[in-house]
Amino acid sequence: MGFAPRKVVRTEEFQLWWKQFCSMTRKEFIILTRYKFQFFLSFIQVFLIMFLFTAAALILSPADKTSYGLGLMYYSFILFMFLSTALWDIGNSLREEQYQGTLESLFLSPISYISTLISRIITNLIWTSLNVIVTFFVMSFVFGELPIKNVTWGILILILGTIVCFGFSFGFAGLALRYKESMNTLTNFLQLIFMIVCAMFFPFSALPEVIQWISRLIPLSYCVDLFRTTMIGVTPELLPFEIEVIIVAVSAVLFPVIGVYYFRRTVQQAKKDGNLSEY
Amino acid sequence: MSQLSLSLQGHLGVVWGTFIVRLKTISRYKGSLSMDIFMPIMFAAMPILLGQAMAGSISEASANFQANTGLTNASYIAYMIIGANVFSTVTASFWLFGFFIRREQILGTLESLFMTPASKTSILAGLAFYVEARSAFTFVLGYLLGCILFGINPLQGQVILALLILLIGLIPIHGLSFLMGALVLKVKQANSLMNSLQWGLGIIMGAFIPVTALPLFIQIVSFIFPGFYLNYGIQAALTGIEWFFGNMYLDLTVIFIFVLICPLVGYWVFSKAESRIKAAEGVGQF
Repeated sequence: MGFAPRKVVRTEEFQLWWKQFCSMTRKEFIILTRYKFQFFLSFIQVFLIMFLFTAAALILSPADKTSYGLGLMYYSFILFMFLSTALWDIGNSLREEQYQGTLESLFLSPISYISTLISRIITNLIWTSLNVIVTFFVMSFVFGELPIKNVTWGILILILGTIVCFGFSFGFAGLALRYKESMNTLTNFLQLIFMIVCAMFFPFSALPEVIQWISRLIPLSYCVDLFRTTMIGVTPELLPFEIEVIIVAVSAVLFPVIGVYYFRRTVQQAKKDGNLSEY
Repeated sequence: MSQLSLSLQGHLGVVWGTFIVRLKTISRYKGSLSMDIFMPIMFAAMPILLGQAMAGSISEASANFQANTGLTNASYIAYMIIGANVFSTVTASFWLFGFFIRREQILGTLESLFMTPASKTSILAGLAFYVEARSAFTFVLGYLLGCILFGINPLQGQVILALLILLIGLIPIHGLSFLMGALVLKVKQANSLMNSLQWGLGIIMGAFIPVTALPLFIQIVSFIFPGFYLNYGIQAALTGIEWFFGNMYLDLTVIFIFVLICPLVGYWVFSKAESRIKAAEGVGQF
């Protein structure tokens, strides 16, 4: 019996992983394209939400602050959309597999956990990004020009912030498999907490001092602060720019690693306990 | 086979039974009920905190609100907290009523429910009582909590009148929810439609901004939507802003006209849609 060189084995492993990943992403994409009405309505929904809250905030502010307020609302909303997608979609998608009775078989196959998780992100990532772009143009048309400064840094921070959100959601998907139906309430509650503590739609200075200290303990706060202040072109509220960049970058590495680790452990535990298919 | 018919007492029993079943079910989902109370506060907090931060102070924000809306002596905090709570109760009515049939279909109990001698009207009346009770409960708690958090007096204005307007003004909303119910029977992705539509309702009912500050075409749509008068009536009763038609009785008359028209039109459209589906394939399919 001959042995294949280590490099060849790794290349083959990667090719296999890539093939799995592409097939699973394609499956998710096919499901998405079957709900065209929902896809189309999501654009209207995002615009209506933005219009409702932005118009209400602008009615309280002086005319010379319109651009700042608009930017703060819009850029915060972008991260909120990615967070919301991350919290709801991966866990729900796995729960859907449980309902359909395919989760047990999926995890019996020699499929990689990472490709299972990432494939569920890709389509929603594209969908949310499209929503973000369309909303940008519609909001600019309705309310006036949005402030755009430091685009390169802004995009880089957005990518890191999105990785933090999805990294968190990997671990959260593990919780979804463990706590099943109670997850809907928990997700709603968590979304609400993040909205307040991470000052998703208002400056951190609007929060009471005590909550601002809690905000400083949550890495997502720095993603929100850094992204919107970079795009608007003002100084970050919580910490100096360089320190916030380091926190966001480190979180973007740690969150996915911890998230995947927790998810893998939960699935293995569920396999051991024999309750992977129970819902 | 002769069809069983119920006495008045029997019908009342169905109404009461439906009401109690729903109440017991929701009492088991305390998390969901708490979200009904907290979400409107969060909705109101977003524009309030951002607007205040941009204005620089509460008094500046208040001056800007009055200048931009023309509502003199109005507290923007109270306006937005009330608006968010009314918005929440109106959308809850659409979800609870409009998706009642769909939920029963999913649970597999709809066909059996319609085979019992209980009339559909009694079941819907029980459901209406439940929605009214739940709305009053979440509105009162949401409003109280919002007022406490933002430091305003919740007992200003005519509280009992506001509560009455809420309970009466929700009746036409239930009526309109039947239209949603009819759509749910026809369109499988109706929940996506409702997800989007609810935010539009927030705009046309003037939940956070008086519609008079919005473009004319939005105002026209608002004036034919009963939710607008419901919100405005509660705002006028609690915050002391002028009644929409300048007189409380005129405003209440308009609400009563909607109370008479909307449930009848909604029920008629819903029954038509339902009969067509029953004749074609039965209501158990989904």
